[in-house]
Amino acid sequence: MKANWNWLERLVFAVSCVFVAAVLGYVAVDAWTMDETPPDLVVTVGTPLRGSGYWRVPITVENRGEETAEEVRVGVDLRQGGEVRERSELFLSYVPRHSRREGWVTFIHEPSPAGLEARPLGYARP
Amino acid sequence: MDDARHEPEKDASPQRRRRPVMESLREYGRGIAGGLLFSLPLLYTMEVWWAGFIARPAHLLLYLLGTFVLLLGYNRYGGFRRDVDWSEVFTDSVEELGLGLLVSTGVLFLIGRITANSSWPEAVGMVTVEAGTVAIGISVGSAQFGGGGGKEGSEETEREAAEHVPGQLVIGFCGAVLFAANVAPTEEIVMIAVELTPGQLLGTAMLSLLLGGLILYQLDFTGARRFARHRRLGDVLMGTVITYALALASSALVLWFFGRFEGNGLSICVAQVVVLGFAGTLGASAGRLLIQS
Repeated sequence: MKANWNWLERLVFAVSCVFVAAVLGYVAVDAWTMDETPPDLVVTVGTPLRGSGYWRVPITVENRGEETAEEVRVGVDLRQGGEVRERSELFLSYVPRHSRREGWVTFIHEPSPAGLEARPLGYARP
Repeated sequence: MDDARHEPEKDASPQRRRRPVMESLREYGRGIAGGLLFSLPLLYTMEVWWAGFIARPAHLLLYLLGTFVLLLGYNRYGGFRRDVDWSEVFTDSVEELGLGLLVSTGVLFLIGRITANSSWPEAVGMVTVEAGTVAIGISVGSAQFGGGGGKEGSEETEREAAEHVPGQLVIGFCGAVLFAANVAPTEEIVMIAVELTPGQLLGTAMLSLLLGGLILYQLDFTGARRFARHRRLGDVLMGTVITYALALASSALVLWFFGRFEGNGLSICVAQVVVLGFAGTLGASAGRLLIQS
């Protein structure tokens, strides 16, 4: 039967086989190795930049857990002399597993990188 | 006359001549156009993107296998060639799944859903979920939009098609899934299900049954005479009920895949199945007649 195929049909079939096998293989391995850990969010704070009238701080949220986190709220505290001077929040609809999302929070006062404290405030299971 | 009618079947036999490249290129083109036609609403729906990365890998695997089984079923019973052998059905299905994956990757990339920042689980999940409908669309597209052949079978094959119950069940199931999957992932299904009163729900179920029966047996849809047996009243009633049952089953399956049952009480789950069953019925009746030639 294969002898009757023209080169395009053979090419499309070969590419399809590779693609299907790759996706099937990836998903199968993923299903096999996945364990049941809830979302584990790691928040990284970048270098503050001056904006128009406020300070912008880039935030990266990475999910190292095995489940997607939904409605993720991240709080960033600006501390000065041991007390919280200002607080900002970031909301992300989804952070899929093993993925990262980026955003910004803003402050009125100039933040020093050492005085910024960030953590996820909460998230839901989709 | 008789010769002309049998020509496409002669081409389809294993001993056929090698086809010109342009002809296969056109067939792939038709398939891809059909795939996009059926799946664009899903490619442009954010709940489907989310389903791609929320779904567990084991679910994705089941989804891929389920899609493949549907493709096998459709290629075996739905295409215009009823004399195809299983190896050809198998290679066609692999090709359609592969093209579905390629097309959905391309479109998701173009609409900015897959970027350099996307992680592998996220990208693969989205592509897989979208590829299912694209692949079935490709299968339907290459079988239905072809020029010549197909539409006119002999009296005998027509009667055979109507009598072939497993074949009709498979095609009905394909049609129901194809239509139900287009609306299942949206929030609207849950919203409607939660807000409907039991009376309205019953009304929806009755309307679905009525519509399914009318489309198959009364409204003179193209193909209704050929693909649905209606000799006695019993056939009509049975066909209507079976069609609705198919619609409900496929709706439940699709809802389960999109995680619509998780954490919901039984009454909400049933309500969702009935609400989506309306779309499923249209697919299993009108859709079923449209996607087979």
